[in-house]
Amino acid sequence: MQFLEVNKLCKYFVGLRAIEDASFRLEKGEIVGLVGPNGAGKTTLFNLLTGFLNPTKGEIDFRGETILGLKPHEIVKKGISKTFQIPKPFHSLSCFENIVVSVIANLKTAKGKGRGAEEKARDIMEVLGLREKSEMLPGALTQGDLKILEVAKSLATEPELLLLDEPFAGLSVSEIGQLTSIIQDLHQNGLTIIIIEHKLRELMKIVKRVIVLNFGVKIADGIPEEITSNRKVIEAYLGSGGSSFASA
Amino acid sequence: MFYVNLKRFSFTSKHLLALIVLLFLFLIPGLIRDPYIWGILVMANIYAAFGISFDLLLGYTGLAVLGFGLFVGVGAYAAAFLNLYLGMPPWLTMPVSGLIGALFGLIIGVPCLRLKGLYLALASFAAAAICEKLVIVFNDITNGREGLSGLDPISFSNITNYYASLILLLVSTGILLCIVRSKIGLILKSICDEEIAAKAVGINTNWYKLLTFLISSFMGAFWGSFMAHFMMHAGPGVFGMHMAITIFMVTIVGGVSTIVGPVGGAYLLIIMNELLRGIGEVRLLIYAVITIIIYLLLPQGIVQPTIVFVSTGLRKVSNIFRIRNRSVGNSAIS
Amino acid sequence: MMGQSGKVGEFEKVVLEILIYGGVASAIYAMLAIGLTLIVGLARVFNMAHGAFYMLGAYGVFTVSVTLKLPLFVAFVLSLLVVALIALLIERVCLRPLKGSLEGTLFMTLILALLFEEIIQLTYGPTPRATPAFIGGRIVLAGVSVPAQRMLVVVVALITILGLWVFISKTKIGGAILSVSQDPEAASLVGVNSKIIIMFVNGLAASLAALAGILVAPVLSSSPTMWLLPLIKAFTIVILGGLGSVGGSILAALIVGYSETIVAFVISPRVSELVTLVILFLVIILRPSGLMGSKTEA
Repeated sequence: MQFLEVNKLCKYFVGLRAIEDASFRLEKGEIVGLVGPNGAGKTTLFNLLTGFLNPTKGEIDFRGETILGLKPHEIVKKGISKTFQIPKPFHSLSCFENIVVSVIANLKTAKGKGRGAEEKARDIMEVLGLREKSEMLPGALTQGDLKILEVAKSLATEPELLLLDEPFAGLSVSEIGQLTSIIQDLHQNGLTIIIIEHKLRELMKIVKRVIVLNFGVKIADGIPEEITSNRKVIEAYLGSGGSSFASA
Repeated sequence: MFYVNLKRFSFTSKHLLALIVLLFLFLIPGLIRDPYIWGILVMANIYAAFGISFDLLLGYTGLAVLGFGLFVGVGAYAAAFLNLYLGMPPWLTMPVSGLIGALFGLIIGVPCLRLKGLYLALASFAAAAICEKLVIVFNDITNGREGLSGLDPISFSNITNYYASLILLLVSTGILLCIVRSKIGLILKSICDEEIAAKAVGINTNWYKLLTFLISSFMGAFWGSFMAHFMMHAGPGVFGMHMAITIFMVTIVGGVSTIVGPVGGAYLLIIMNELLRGIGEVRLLIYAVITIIIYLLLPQGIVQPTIVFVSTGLRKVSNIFRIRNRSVGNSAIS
Repeated sequence: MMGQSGKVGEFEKVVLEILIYGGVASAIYAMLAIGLTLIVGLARVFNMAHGAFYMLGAYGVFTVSVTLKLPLFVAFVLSLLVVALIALLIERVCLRPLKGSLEGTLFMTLILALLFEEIIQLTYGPTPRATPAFIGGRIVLAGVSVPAQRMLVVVVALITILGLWVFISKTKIGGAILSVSQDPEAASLVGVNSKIIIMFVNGLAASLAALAGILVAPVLSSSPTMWLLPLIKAFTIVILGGLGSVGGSILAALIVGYSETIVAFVISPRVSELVTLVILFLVIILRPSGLMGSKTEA
């Protein structure tokens, strides 16, 4: 049984083919990067995987079951969770409450039984280093902390597959370092992770495999070294700001 | 802020204030021996109840149901029909009317779930206004503009009415406060803040929105029927814009997202209404102006700041007493 | 139906009456809806006081021509100006602080509408007021005798809508309005002042509503609650036509106006209000983006 299997996935909008015939497989425990120029369809793919969009054609199977047609909250219960490119915290709730809400929403599943919601939330805050900020409102947090809060909210859903959408965007070098070690720890603990990123140098340090999209089509899929020397990939990036790629 | 764990409950000056206010409200019939005033306070309690039900929708789940008057009207007319044509007594018509109201809540709620708040606001508004017109127009069933009269009152004595309304208001407020301070309340707030993010953490937002609809519409209709019995009359005005707009003025003045806020707003409205009775019809006008001013200048409403102000005062007073006691104790020992 | 020409004439007469009266209704609704849809497309807010401007126009012309006994032309111009000014005042004082909050605007403008209703009720009393017709007499159109005032409504509405169309598509200001509604930031980069445009459109919309009220004042009597149902029809039309689409509003106004008239003639006038509600719910459930709106993903 494949952990994640995406088969000939297509998503068409009026006048735009956002995803065209995408197919790939993921093993449990992999950590994969998803890259491509702006508008390549990366976030669209995440939205398809999490039920925020319905595919026009194709299949998505998670742990042997199809997840087509499921609503976002149902897919979260199945074990797939994503973070938002621009963080969407619950702005009138404190950091702590942001995580508690996520825990509560998932308590009914067998995984959540036996521990109080508050305890669980505190554990997550501890692991991610948010403890001192627990009573603060999201409005008072730095961009780096907001990204960590996003990850915290997703972790509270006890995912098996974590989708991170441009986690490093807008972060300082030290914040990126902090988030990188968090991601690596999560991966070490068995979480399967897909990361969309534009900061390719930082991404290549973390992931073991990279899938490249361009205009909705998968043009490459392999280990980082292969990707950086792949001609199609270089052309795709050079066509729209290849400098970030050349330095990876 | 929102999430209160009952194990960590501590008695603060705010709770003291609440107790004092409650005590005062219970003792009013002893202090003011005018049945007319008691009747007025019943209306205040009724409008307070409308306001808190509306606040659950607007302030907690973020659903701007402009047509809230629809549920009130349904409750009032349901009570009238059940009582006048089927002979049901008030204590039975009220919960049944509540259920009928919840049914309407379902009818309006389900189609509006997947739409933007704008459509919900406009559709409910249209439904309420047009229902008012229909009720007038189909006057063979509903007696048109005059409405249905002769409902049984809850009691013939205003003092019973007063205590009934007060206790029911307390129960209603209590239920809503429990919901709002609980896990469900936290979830509702998250849906209000960022619905997409709420879905992304596994919350079934449609289910919770519908739940809120059902609770609010039940309460709106329940209290609508209470009002019909109290006034022994159900007229088209209960559906209409005056009722709906008055309810949200009460909520805005008292404070949105507070649950207890609308109680203050309702009392202010009714008391102001009475004091200005001499001026005539300007009363609603003045309240509308007050609402606009408060909305612009004091958007959190009048109740929260008042509570903070008074409870801070209470705390300072109790601190003074504590300091005095300590010095007395010390001098006794030495 | 064959043979007796009298019976055929009856049927034709009803059809013509529906055509004409439906046209009158559609014309009024179109004028109300166009202003509203412009505001929605531009500022992304719904002004529930729009119906109040309609009411103020009607009472304005009543006051100036009947109470003050000034000439009709003065009544027209004065009413339009005063209503436009009130609209601008409202936008500046009550709406701008809300910073574009949709719910805030809905509540604020509803309370304002109530405020105006109360003021009118206090000043004029609850009994309906009649304004004499601007043009007396009747016109015979294809065998049907219609009050000239009603025809005036259609003619003025057509001229106004046509003029508006030309204005928006041909003049600089019209272009500015379109550009701000499509992309406020880009528009400001090119030097278009959004605040002024929004003020202008608010005034324009209010004037259109007032004009509708002025035209209708002799036809229907003016009462303090007359702002409510036209408002509901106006936003139903705006939603049916597609938020922000002027052409859509015109089309939708025709649909709503004629549906209402047909139902009133064929079934019963009592049920005609229900038509609006049914149309609104159908649109919301089946195609919320309206006829001319773009379909967006949920």
